[in-house]
Amino acid sequence: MRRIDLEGTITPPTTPEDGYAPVAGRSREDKELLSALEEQAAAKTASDYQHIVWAYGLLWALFAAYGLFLWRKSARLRADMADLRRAVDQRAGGKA
Amino acid sequence: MRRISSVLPDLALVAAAPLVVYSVQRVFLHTPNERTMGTAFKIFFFHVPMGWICMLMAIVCGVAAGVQLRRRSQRAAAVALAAAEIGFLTGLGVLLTGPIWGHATWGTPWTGDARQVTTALLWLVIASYLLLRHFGQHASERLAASLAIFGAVNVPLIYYAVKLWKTTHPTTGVVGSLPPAMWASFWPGLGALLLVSLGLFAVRARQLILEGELDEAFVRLEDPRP
Repeated sequence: MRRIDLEGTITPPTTPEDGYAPVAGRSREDKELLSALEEQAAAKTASDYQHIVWAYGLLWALFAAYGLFLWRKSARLRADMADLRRAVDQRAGGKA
Repeated sequence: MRRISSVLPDLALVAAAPLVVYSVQRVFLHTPNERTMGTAFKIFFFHVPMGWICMLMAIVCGVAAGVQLRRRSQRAAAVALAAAEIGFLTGLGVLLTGPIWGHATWGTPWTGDARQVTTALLWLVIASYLLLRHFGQHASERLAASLAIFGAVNVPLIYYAVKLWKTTHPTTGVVGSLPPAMWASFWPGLGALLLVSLGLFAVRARQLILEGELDEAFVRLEDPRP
């Protein structure tokens, strides 16, 4: 596999007598490859996060929906209890 | 004793709240990415506990249904129904988060492997049990209880599916082999989901028992005999 120097170590150009110094460092090919890889990695991370948000969102939405269902059931049970109490009181009043 | 047991569900839900926040921030901010699956691996920290809770609830439901069949206990019937509802909820969670994770890592949401199929089967059994309990006639309660026992028997099959057949799922030892940073994020997530599930389960069981007692009280009240 081809390796890319990610640190981008640039060897300091030596100044020859005639003043010409060749550019040293990461090649254009390496830079293009690195940029393509970075793009791919960023796209993968973004897609992963989208999946995670869906998974976690659905999970907690399920629990929230069930919590709501239980809360409504509790309200109905409280109303039934009140009805029963009223019926018992009426019956006790009728007997007295 | 009765007083303590009556506040336990509320205590579980209250204790779960900070643990949920802690576990989510641990998973997102302090857990390293898995080398091959990358960021999508973070779904693992809630997907696996949901699977475990679903299996636990299927077993609770099966055992309670057995007690209901043997002793004709209304309390056991209430516990079985409450466990089935939580099992249905967590099973649905597993069946939704699994394909999302699969889509991100395997490139396909459903491979039809043994663990996926057996989990889907368990969820369908639980769904059938709930339909029978909610819409069946009086005698169908016993049929529903038998179905719940069948569901509980399916649990070891889900657990050992990865050993018995060739699957895309990892083997059963994954949690034990997690590196320390991931291990430390897994347990708070499991604890949070377990506390939420047990809290909701206890609240629901209490509601069902109360519902039965209320029905009995209404019948007795309308009975003309002295």
